[in-house]
Amino acid sequence: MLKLALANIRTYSRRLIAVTLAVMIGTAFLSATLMVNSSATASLERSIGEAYQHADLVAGIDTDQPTTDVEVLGVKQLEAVAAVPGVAAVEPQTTSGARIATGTGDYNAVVHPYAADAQLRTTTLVSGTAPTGGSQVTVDEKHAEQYGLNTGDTVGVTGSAPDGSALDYTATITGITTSSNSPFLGSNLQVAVSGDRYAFFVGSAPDYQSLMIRLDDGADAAAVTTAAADALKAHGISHPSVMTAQERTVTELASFTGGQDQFTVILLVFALIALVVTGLVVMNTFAVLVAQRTRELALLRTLGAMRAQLRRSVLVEALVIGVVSSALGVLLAIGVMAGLVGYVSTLPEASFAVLAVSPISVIAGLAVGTIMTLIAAWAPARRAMSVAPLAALRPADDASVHNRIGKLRLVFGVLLALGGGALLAFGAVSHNLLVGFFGGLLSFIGILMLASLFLPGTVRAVGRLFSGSGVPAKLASLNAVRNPGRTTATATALLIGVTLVSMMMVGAQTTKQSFGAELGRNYLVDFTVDSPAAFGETFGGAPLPGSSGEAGSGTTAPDSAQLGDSQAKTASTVDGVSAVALLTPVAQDQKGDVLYAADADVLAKVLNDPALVPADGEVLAGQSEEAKQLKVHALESTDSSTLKVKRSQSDFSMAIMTTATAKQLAGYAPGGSVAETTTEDGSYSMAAYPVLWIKAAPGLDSGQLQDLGRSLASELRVPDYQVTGGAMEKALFTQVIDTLLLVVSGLLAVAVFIALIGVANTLSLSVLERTRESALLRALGLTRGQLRGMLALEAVLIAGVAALLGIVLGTTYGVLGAQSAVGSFATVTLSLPWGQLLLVLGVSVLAALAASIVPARRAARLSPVEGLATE
Amino acid sequence: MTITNTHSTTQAVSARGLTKVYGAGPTAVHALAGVDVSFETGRFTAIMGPSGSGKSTLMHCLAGLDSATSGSITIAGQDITQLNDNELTRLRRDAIGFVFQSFNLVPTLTAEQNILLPLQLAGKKHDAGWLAQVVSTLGLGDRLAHKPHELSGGQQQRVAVARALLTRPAVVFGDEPTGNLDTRTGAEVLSLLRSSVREMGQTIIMVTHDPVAASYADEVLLMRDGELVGNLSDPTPEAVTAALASLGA
Repeated sequence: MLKLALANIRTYSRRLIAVTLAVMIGTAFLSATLMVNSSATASLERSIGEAYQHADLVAGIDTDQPTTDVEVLGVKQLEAVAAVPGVAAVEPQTTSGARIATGTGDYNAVVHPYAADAQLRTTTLVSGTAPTGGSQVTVDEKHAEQYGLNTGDTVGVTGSAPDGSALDYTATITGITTSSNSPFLGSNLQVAVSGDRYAFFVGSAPDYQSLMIRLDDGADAAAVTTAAADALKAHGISHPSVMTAQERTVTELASFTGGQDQFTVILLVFALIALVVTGLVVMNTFAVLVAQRTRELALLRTLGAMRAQLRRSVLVEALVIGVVSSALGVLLAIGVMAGLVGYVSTLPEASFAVLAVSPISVIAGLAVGTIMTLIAAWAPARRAMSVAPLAALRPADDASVHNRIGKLRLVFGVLLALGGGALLAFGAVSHNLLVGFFGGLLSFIGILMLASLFLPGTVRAVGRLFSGSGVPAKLASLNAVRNPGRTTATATALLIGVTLVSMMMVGAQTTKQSFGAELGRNYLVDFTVDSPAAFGETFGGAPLPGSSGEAGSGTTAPDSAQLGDSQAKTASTVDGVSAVALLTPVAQDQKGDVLYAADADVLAKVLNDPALVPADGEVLAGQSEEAKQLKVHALESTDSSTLKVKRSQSDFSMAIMTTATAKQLAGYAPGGSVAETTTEDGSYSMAAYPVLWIKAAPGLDSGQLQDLGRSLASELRVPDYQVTGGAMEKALFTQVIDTLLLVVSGLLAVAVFIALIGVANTLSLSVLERTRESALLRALGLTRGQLRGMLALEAVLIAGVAALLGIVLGTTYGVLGAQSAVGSFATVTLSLPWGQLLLVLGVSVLAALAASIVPARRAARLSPVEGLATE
Repeated sequence: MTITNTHSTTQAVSARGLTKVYGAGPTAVHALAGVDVSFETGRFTAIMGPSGSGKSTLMHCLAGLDSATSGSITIAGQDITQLNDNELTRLRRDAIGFVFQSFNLVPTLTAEQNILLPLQLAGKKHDAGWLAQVVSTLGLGDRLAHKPHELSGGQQQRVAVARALLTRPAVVFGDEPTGNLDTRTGAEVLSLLRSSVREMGQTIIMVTHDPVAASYADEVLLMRDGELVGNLSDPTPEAVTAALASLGA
């Protein structure tokens, strides 16, 4: 039987290309995911290992043990360890930050002490001399080259010690060192200074990460380990950890890789989806192969093959395909990962990246790929078993199999679909993502179980729409559901992918829209620009004389620090600005909070929601304002007036009114500003200066909005941070969601791609099966073009219906999922990304058309005589 | 009517009271209406009759491919109507050979692999001497490495005959074995079948509607409406044609 299975694979190898490709891609996805994990771990291990590579022992604090007091590894502990017999040298593992000014640029640097002990140095000299004294430094070679630094150059070093004292001095580069991949030194310029100078960076009580120990020749490592731990204990460290460099690396690795495991789990979910789709394609292929071989299988039964032998033969075929394709898939994964790691390692900040093909990634890839293929081939193998010997003697049956949905499956499917649907709805209503997720998962499984109920029916119904347009169309729609089981499996594979992709698209769009609306409510305007005076600055950036961040008490900032009409005019000329309002402080309430005013027509233009413009005698206040009425007094006046409060949903507390209202306030005088004051009831009031509210032109994307923020800052000559607002936050948020969507869609696209291979596969196998029939149709007068068109329509029908149903399902899941996920902190606004959904439909239909080309050409090439002669 | 070959004691195949009914009630069709028949070892028998006479159904039942409604069938001393599927499969494998109208070779295997297939299914070793003898008798020596599609119709059918003979079965069933062959090649195959009876002592039961093919047999059984209605010993094509004509009348 093995011989027969192998002969079948050899002879029908072309029919197996697609299924091999599908298994290969699915397996490669899984293997690559596992390799991402092992490579990241190996790269990190290499990086961490580099920090400790020269140490015999590493001493530190066991952070897993709880301590009541803050314990610090400092000079005292270092000296205690150095005094332990058998210890030749101890160096601290410690770094500090600094800015290095080279004359051409200003760079972040990581400063560490140049170890006195040659063996324990993390970076070693390549050229020049070691730093000594206060004003010598070495830099690492990679960054030296990048920044154009050479031995003998002078650089400015600025930094600050923990006690707040500033460091600012000029240093000479005396040497170039190797670049270390140690994660403690990070990806910045690595600067080594003398131990004495380093003391300035860390102050009098340094906090070392660990102590690296070199042993005397012939010292007993175990004895030193115990002694060093005791020495640390004696000096206030209640839980010391002293271990070999190797052990330390492993320990730190574990604490570094927590987040990465989560990432792997997420990737694995996508790999699983791809594998499920692959399984469907495999199942379908084998079902078709078995159907085509009915006569042959029956012949074998007649010649004395046992049922079990036939099943074994099909399973052996699946096994061989599974093993070969999984092996190819693992190789593909290694190739892709080698390429990726090769690229990543060229980036300066990740030069330690290394490809690690863990045994598990190879074994899991091979095992899962093979077992999945076997499981998928199980049902077709059972069908092969049930072929009656007599079938060999009957004239060739026309390809038509009736599939009945099993009762058990029906019951389970309905239960899962309804139960899961109810859970999902509950999750959506109660804004519980976990419940919603499981509900969605269960209901989707249920719907897939019921797929054979509605998929062929829908294809038939949609096909009927075309059947008016001629015989080929009619035949195509009949052929599409000729074997409902096969149609279901093909369409289901695509349905899964499309549902998930469109769910992500709708979910992302709805979340974006909901957050956008929420941010719109929260942020009344797109951009807010504060007066420089509010930050103790003037236009152009220089601080106000005598100011340290707050306006001096009792003084009013000069015009050079306050926004005014001229700035409003400047802002309105900036590209991308649609409206500008200058809000000036006009009044204070009893708590001392300042109220602002602007003209009603201008406010209507800048507010995201024009309906919020306060009416006469009204104040628009933030969400937190609970009073119905507000007692206010105009600036520089003590007469108070009472105004009605209109609450916005903004958290943002600045209250505004129209200029018309302000003019009605008792004692109102224009041009007032508020200095820092203490009000009657003792509460404290910040100084208040005019503010610009700006509305951006509609339709700007996140990058354009960020550019707009920057150009506003530069045009108005204020620092970037004084330009804030919902627009940029919204843009940033949109960007994050879009990036996520892109990544997730890319991952799911693998599943869709595999499903489309499945469509091509099913179609080409069906064409082979219907050779006689196609020939007959050609003999009866069907043109080649009509035959091709017929097959194309068949493919489009199956793929189109699957994509359409997938989009409908995905949209439902997306909306309900978004409701579960973000419903608790934002009102969900329904919004469908029509363009993206149409794109999915279009891609599916076009891919199905493309998939029909090769089989259709083969069918059309056959002459009617040849076709009819084929047995 | 009952026909029994009385001049021999060893029977390769026999049936008693064999009926096969399709459907039920008033619409029931009796494809076999109580057939008693036995086939002697080492004889070549042809079964003939007009379309719908039940000759194919009789063969399918005798070969254990189709189940009879009632009656018993004995092959090599075993009542096959009492066997389950696995036992029946084993019997087919060991005691029965088939030659079909449409050759029915496995297209993916070479001629030699096709010939050895039943033995391999049974997990048995083949007798190399016997294989060589069968192959040379059938003139297939230089064709063994070819796939079926590389062989002519006559060659394919000779491979099928070799496959049937290799297990030294108690009986070989032929279902219109020359139906897809031209006259000359058909005559060749029939001669081979007859010589296997003469020289190797093989038992062959063949269903055909060709009087010339039937004339190669030792005996012809005639069927009509699910019953055996006559027999001819040492038939000639003319005698068979005449007998068939009398059935149709």
